[in-house]
Amino acid sequence: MGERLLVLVVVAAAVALAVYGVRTWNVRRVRALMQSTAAAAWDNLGNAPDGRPTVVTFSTPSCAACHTAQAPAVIAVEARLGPAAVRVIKIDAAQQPEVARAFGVLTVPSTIVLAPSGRVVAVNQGFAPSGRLVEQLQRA
Amino acid sequence: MGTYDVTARKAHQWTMVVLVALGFVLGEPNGAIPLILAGAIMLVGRFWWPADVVRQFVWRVAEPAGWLPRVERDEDHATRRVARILGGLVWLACAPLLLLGLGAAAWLLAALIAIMVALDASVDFCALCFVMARLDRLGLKFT
Repeated sequence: MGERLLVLVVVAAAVALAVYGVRTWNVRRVRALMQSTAAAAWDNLGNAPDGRPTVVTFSTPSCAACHTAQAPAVIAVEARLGPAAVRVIKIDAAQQPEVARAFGVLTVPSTIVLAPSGRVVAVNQGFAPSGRLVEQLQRA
Repeated sequence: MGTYDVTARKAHQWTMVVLVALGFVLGEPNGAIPLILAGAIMLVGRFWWPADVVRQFVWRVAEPAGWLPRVERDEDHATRRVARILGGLVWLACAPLLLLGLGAAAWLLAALIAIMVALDASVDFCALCFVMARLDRLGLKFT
């Protein structure tokens, strides 16, 4: 029993260490993305900033959460802020995996908030509620 | 996708992990009992809510008594429900392996599922959601 308890402790420690490592790596990656030049971000999108803060949404055709939750949340943001105050760019991560890779998208739905200058302001892996997106857009 | 009680989910998941860990510590053949219990709660509780005993306890006792704070969040539970069925099936399948003397294989499989459950309970990392998103991006559709 003692040996098995030791194995449990070692496995738990290894998992905790792995989680810490992945989290640190992800934080650094997002930080690097936020410090990257606006041009680099927009080159990946194949688009150009137009002076409005922008939400880039990443989805795939078979992602239920993208269509039933994230899309309505983004529509709510557009309705709340108005088309003059926010721009939405939709990316199909299955069709444009290189764009998803460039923005470090790990899952769908994901959303990236870009400042009017084009710089990355926030990266949301997973569903982002409309309130959070509005808050991120307002500080963009 | 909808709004769910994250506290109840995490309490359920940590309880399942503890049951599997307890089974491992007890060894063979007694370890099969908590493993079967965890598998049964996962699998039966998915389809028959009274069997979802940890969530029931959290909703009926722990949260009303103020022992645990109710936290609600929008989450993808469709994929988690599939993961729950798969996890329950694997744990139930591990129990006979233990009784057949295949302890190493049984605990390896059980630990794999337990680690995934622990990751979701601790850092909200849904492993199956991640795998599905990756497969989706590769153009493989499952819905």
